[in-house]
Amino acid sequence: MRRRPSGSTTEEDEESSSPEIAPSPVPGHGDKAYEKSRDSGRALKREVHVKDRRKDSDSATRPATGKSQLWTASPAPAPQTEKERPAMHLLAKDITPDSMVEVHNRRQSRLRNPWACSLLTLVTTCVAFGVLFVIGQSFMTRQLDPKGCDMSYMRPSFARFSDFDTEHTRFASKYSLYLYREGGIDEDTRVNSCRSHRYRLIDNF
Amino acid sequence: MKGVPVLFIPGNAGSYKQVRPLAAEAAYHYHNVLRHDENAIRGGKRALDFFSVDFNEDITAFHGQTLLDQAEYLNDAISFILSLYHNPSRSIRDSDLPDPSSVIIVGHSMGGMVARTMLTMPNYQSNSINTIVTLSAPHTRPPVSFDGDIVKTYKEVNDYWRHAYSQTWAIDNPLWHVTLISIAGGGLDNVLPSDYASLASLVPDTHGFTVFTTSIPNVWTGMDHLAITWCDQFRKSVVRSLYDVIDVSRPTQTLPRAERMRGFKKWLLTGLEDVAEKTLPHKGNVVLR
Repeated sequence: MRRRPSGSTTEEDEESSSPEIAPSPVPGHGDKAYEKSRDSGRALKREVHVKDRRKDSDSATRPATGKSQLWTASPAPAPQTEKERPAMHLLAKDITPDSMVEVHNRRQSRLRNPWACSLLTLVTTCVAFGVLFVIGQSFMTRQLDPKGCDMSYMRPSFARFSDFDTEHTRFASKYSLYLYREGGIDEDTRVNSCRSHRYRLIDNF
Repeated sequence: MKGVPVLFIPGNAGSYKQVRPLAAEAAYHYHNVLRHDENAIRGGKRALDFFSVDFNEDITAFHGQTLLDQAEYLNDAISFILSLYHNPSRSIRDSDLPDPSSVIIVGHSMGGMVARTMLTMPNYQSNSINTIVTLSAPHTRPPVSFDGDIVKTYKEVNDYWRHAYSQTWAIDNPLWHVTLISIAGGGLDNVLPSDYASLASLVPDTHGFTVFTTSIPNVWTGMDHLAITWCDQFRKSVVRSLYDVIDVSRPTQTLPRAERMRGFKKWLLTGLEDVAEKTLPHKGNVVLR
């Protein structure tokens, strides 16, 4: 058997009890497995046979068929199901053909390479990135309002009220209060200010 | 010289120095224009005294408790600022003018949200805030919602505002005299979506509006999150609207609510909006011959 990804119990039952159906019809790939299974079919100990064959078929088929058959939609599954179905009817009567197809499909989808992507996915992704780039570019460079602000000029000076202290507010150590005065026009810091407390004007140009 | 206090609140990781462009324009406008205008002086226009707070570039947007701390500090700061004007040795206002009882608030980014939080705090001195202008401020929902505290704070503050403005009688509304103007930068602001600045669900048309800088007369341009603090055309419009709404002969330092709204609408709206007041009916009949 080439297509055996997992060891579900039904699978094992089916194969171990009907070794004559197991071999694959495709020549060249399953040869070894076929030989083995025929030999082991005559063997008395089924369990041994199952283990043996599994190991063998794994090692024999995986490298050979791996890429071409397992990872792509292989043409093989259809005939195989045809073959399996009657066997199923005989051996496991409570499993309906429909559920078997389901199991098979599930198995097939599990086999698919997680990195596989169709051409459509690829194209859609590329287009999406393109659109994202255009959106970003238009946000940054196009359709912007013109910046029309004129620069403003001033000669600032600030007087700090050092007597607005902890007596007046509990935040005096953290924050402070200033009075603005325009240099050259109005430098009187009395509120305009005081003769007793002479506030120092801090110029910052 | 006697001023009208204005307090600038910087935003998330902002600096107190961001007040410069607005404050400088205010100083120049008074110095070059209003000072020489008899009508303006008689109408109660005086220079604006810009105050600013240094939050050590705190990140308010990520931490609810920081937002509450800042709001508490700012309420204390307002009491302190008002006390400066009451002190004759520190103030050189005309003695016949009433002492100010309220401060105009300008908030940038999260600072706008902090400004609205101030009015809900236990240490808020009632009626000490009646005019708030916010620049690119997220009012409707927190811009970053990693922290449960900030989501909760937003919900509480917004519920307070909605509840206040849904009262039938003005007497039940603690925010009746408060006007809130939210200005958003539009598409160029890629830090904060401008939809967050919308006041539609918070404040009725009679007490505030939201406007994009692209539709402000004489500005007509979008601006990014930081440019809104220094843009030259924009600061001119904002400063002129602030001068339009002040009146030093009143203790509040500002005109009554309806007149303030008219002043802001005049400078910040085109007049085509639904909320814009139609001024023509007020002007009486003119017969063309």
